[in-house]
Amino acid sequence: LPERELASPRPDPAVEVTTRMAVGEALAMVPVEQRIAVVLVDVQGYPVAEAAAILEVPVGTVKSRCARGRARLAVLLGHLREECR
Amino acid sequence: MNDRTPESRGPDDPADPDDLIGLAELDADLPDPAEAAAGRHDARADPRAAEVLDALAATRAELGAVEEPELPSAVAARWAAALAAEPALPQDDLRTAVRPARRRLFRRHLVVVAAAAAGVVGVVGAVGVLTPRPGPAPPPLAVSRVDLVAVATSTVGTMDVGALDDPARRAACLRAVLPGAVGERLLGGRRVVLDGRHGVLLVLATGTRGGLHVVTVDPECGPAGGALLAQVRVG
Repeated sequence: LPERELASPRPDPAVEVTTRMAVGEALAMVPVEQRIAVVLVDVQGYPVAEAAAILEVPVGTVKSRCARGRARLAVLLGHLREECR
Repeated sequence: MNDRTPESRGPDDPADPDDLIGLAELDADLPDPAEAAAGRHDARADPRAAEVLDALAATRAELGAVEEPELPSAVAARWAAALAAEPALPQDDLRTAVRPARRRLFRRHLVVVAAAAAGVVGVVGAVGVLTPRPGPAPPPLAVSRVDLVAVATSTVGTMDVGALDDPARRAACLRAVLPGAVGERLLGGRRVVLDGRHGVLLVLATGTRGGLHVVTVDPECGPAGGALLAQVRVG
């Protein structure tokens, strides 16, 4: 058989799309305030203080919303078992 | 977290929801330092807690790996038309418009963030409802160099860059006139007349939060080269 080229180090686009869809679907199931906090901090990469300024809420509120959102997402994305919801 | 000891649970028991929230708050740095230190100490001794913290870390990593979807050009065009339909500010008001414009940017960003979190279809649907159909392109805005920053701030979200709407052409243009800006993300742009000379103002993200790179090039800028009319970094 001819020697195959090494696989590209770039992730499979199908996997990327599937992952994005899964994350999008999971985020849609999270309460909107938690969703916005999680998207700002975890997806968009804003520092918590900056996210708090944008949302005009205390830093602790952003942390709390992120915590609850991530906890729910951890289950929805399969990182924790269903019983944890 | 509650006061159950690690020994009271088997390795296959699911985490208690209260524990999960408590650990998520610990993971998010919510408790005060003394409480957090005690919580981390407890978590280190509890394999289930460690598993939950690992799951939360994996969740954050998965969220962080999601790339933002590209804004469809049709949506960008509708935004541009909607922003162009806003009443124009006199030149003297441009500086005072910066703060409100920044707030509008944040709010606009939030709408996109919220919609993006619900899926790209949501973005298209929401913007389609909220913005009018595209009309004729507005005339180039006459600006002077001292106004560039104020104009740039209000340009974020606008996409009226003529032929530079083509990412390949834009990259080739920047490569020719300002190689250091090639990798910078376009936040907005508009056709301008800068001190009497036609150009295209591009607002680029520097990669630093709040940082902007404002670049003005000639409208014909592309693979064959072009002219850099002005550039300024903000933040």
